Amino acid sequence: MARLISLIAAALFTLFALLLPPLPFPVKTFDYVFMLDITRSMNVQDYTDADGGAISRLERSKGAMLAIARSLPCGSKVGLGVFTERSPALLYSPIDVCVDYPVLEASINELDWRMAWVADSNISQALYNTLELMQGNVLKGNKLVFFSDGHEAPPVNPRYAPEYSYLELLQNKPEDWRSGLIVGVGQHNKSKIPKFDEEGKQIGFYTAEDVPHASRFGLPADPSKVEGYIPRNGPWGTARVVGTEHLSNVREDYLKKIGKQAKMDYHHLQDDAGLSQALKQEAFANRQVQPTRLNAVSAVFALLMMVYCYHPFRPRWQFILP
Amino acid sequence: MNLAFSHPWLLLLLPLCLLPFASSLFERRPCASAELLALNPVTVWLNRLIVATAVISIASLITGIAGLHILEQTVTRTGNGAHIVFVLDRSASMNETFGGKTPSKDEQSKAQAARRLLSEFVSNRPHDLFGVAGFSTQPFYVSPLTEHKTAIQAAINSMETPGLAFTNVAKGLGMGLSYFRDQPHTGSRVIVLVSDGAASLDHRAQKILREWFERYRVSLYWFFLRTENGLGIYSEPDTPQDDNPRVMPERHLHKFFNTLSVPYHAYEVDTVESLQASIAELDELESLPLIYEEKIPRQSLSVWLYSLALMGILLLIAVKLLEKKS
Repeated sequence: MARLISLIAAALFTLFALLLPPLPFPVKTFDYVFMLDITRSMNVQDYTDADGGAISRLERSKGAMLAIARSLPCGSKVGLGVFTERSPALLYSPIDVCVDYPVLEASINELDWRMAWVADSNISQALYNTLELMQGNVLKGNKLVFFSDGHEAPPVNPRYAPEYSYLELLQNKPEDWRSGLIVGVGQHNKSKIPKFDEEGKQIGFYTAEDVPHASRFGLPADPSKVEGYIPRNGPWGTARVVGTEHLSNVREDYLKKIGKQAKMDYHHLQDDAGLSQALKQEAFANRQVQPTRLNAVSAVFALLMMVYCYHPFRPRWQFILP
Repeated sequence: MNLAFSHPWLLLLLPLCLLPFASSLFERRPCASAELLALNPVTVWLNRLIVATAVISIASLITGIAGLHILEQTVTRTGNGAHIVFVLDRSASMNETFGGKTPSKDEQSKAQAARRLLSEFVSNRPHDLFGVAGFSTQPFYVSPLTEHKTAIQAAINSMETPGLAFTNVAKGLGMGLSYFRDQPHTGSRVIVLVSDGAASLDHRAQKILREWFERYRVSLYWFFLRTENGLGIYSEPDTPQDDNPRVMPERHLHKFFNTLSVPYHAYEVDTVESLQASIAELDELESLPLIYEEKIPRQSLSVWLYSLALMGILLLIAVKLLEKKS
């Protein structure tokens, strides 16, 4: 009798497996816009690839972007943009990481510092403008992943830093809300920045004479602190400033500071696994209902029933007792 | 036909198919003497048939759970279409209206109008491959020639974001042409340059562009989004002194394009309607026979396997019901 019942149950479960429509199930997906710094300091080769060769921060970031795209669950979307000086350029709005992966891969591989339309680098302004872009129609609801080394050139005057609280995007948001993640690219020790000619061939490195070492823009916040201050002829002092602006490392403190203002988390790029973990946080997830086919589960029950029906551990003889 | 499993490790369960050999569907009953039971060939074969049905049912359930499917296939077909690369101007002036003003609430900027119409165009041409390149002062690679329509739409979406710097047509076209480098030559090849300005090309750029257009046999469409009262492609100079590429870059760029050995069409567009009309004309002109690959998505065979299992199990139920009741 048990065998007959289990056979009938198996038949019913198989029927379910055939006819069960896709059921709505909640899944976690992520919608990101990757914004990559393509200013000159990103050419610093302070990462190593799998073979131990030196690769630039730019190449490292590109590798990390592809690794993240591969690790995100299907249904997640990734958009791509680059920034230089103060403005971001969106290449495309987010596309599916599974279906459109070939396109993502091709375009990320083609990202290049030579796309830069101007050469300066003002990261806090660029971040501000990117967030402004994020609140527009095209990118609404996506989270920003901002790849940068934090090295600004020429050095900026903190007096003219943008005021993030003006952004509508950041207003009236709960304490744990995040607009995205800043990814610090680069190592902590300083390295030389490669210099290229018009054709894109490397012709050496930037030297101390090539770059300004302190901000000369606008007026200083507190003139009394500037050595040799002359109101008209030397608002920034008359002393020659020497520094290490021709060398570059990741400016973590700075990135963390603007990240705090922009309600973004900070992550220092080391290995891909760490970054993809940082990007799979609850704060960035979208809860979505996706139709899921559970037919296989029903078929598993049918299989169990069949196995029960044919299991060989029955008593060999069943005597019919009077 | 290429078959594959989504969860091949589940095939480890396949030995379960052997269960019907180890156990019987029927109750064992005592019998006074085995000799009394005559085994005729029909009985033997019926028994084998019943065991085989059970084996097949279990096996098809397991392969169904393991997700047997036919792999995604590409089929080469011929149709009408083109390989089209959009070379999009991302300079700051694209964010103004055709009147040259910042758009008010119910007006469209040039970029918005172009975006909407191009995106309609893309969705109306199913077999074409599309690529997108952008340029302002520098060119940028946006998306390769691809049949992924959602990605193309996403790239066209980017036109609605703020523009960048200046208009460097030569580099943009160079980037667009480079997309055809490794493409098989089939159907029409088209570059659609969408810009609202022009720039003078130096001799080197002219030589390279001429060479590349010839080598890749790409026809050129120029949608020039003319701002009201601005200079256009067909503007005539007032004085001979003004007839130079610095003063009238549009006129001279048009002259240069006319000297190319490939088909060239220029559309001076100054309203949303005329832009629509010129896109419609492009749609009509560019459909040569095209060999394209159509992807047939992977097909799950689970339904067939479960049906097979269901039939087997129903048969077993019938057999079981016929068993002699005690």
